[in-house]
Amino acid sequence: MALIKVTLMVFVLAIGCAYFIALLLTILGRMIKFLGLKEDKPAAIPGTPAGQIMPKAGTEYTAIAVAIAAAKRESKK
Amino acid sequence: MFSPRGGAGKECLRDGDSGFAWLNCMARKRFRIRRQISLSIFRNLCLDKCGYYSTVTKLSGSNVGSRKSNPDIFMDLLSVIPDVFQGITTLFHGEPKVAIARLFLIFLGFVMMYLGRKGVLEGLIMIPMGLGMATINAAVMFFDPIGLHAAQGGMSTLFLEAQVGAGVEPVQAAADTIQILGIDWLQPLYSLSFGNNLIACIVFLGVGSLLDIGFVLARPFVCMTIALFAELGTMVVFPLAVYCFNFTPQEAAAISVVGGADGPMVLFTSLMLAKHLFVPIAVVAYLYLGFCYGGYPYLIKLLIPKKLRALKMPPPAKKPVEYNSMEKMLIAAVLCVVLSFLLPIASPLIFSLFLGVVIRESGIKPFQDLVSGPILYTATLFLGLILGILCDANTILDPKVLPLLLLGMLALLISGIGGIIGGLFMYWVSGGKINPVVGIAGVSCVPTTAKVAQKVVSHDNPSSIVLPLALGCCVSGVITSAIISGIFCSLLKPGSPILEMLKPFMGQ
Repeated sequence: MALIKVTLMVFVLAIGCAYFIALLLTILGRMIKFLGLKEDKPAAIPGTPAGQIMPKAGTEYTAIAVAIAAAKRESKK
Repeated sequence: MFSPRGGAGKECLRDGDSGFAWLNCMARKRFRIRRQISLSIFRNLCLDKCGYYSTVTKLSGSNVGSRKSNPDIFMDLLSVIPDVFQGITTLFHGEPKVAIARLFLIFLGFVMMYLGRKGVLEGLIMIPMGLGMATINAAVMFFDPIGLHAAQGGMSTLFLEAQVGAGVEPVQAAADTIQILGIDWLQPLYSLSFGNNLIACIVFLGVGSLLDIGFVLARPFVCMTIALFAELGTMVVFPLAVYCFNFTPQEAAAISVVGGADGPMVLFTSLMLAKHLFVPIAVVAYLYLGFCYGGYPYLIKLLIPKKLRALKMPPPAKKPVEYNSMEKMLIAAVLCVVLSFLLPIASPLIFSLFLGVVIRESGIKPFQDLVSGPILYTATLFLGLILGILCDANTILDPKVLPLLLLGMLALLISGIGGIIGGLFMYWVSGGKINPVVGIAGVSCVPTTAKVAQKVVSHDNPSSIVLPLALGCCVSGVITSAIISGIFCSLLKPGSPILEMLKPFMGQ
């Protein structure tokens, strides 16, 4: 009898947890939609590859410096 | 008359000897020298370091230096053959049932490779596992450096020792482990990735990078309900293992988790609750998980009529909300933290799974490529290989393995039936809008069962698509398996009040 009781206990706890997760997913989904998070992709600096990849040694760095300065000016406005 | 002068053949020269006698004498001498050199190297390499001892060393002492005729040389050659080809010699050395089991496992290894290649079983696991199983049962030799195999006539392999350090005092265990680490080529991988659950976590990390939680977010309650039905095998086998097979509650819990059909979860639970049964449980679990792919279609066809199998699911009346990757990443992170709050004992696995999901949704392509490719497939390859290597005849002939084979099969069978009942339940609740075949996907085993569901449905109605919902059920199956595994580990840990309640079953 004790074993059946423990088995049922495990199953009831699992049901509780699983439905709690399902409820959480539903509420979280709605809340996140309410927040209106947009899928922003990090903009690459012109002339350089995206992410943490080293630019090539032959890159024209003047163009990059001009682009960064322009971006900074834009952000200050 | 033949009369060579000087050199190495001088001592072979006697009056009246023919040229043939001289050549014969020289050949014997060369053979003795070569044997002496090779024996001394062999002794240095094996006898001192590994405790190797064979009839070769016994032979050498008395025979070296004595003059022999031709038949003696051939006798010598014949007598060293068993020492050279020890894989065959060991077949005749131990008990006949071990030899038969070895030959059977070699054959089974080939069958698994063939079925894996054909696509009947999961090739990713079955091909390395089959080759490992066939090879380990062939490569047995007289080798017992730390005296673990005295009962098996000192026969072992150079692959790995699963039980090294078990059941001896810590200092001796450490010394044994260090010695074996320097001998068995797969031991470093086994000791550093199986004993601490690292392999389970790495596989889960890779699995996480393949999961799209968007499928669960579309219908969380439907997916979770089906996944809970598919845990029926775990719930039935747990008491059955204790009542009928006299396993302790911890051992029974470790075996019953096979019903969740999640390999990493089975590894995790057996290491947490029944470390001594880890090897047979892991082998049984992965062996059967491979069979899911081949066996479940028959179960579906047996339990669900063709009319229902061919059901085309209508699109939902309200279009499900779609989530972008930023939202999915945030949801996965929150879910990881909440589940870790609830079940800290299973948090390494939960964290690994959701780290994979977060990497998938993060947009960092180098990480995505690394986790879903090299990490996942390297871990899967070595997992399959090591599980195959663990399938030696002595493990399979362990008296506890037969009940494990039965219970493992029963757990997966009942879970499959439970999943199908869940599918039929959802078909009834939804008013015939959900194809009951998706129920099988609740058994988890990502993404095999979802693929099985779609394969069966496509066979009966090529225009019916159930894969998105099946994948949702599959992902939910992983979550429910993690929940049940965590509950078992928390409830049955030493000193817990539940274990006190189950004390009458502990001493069986």
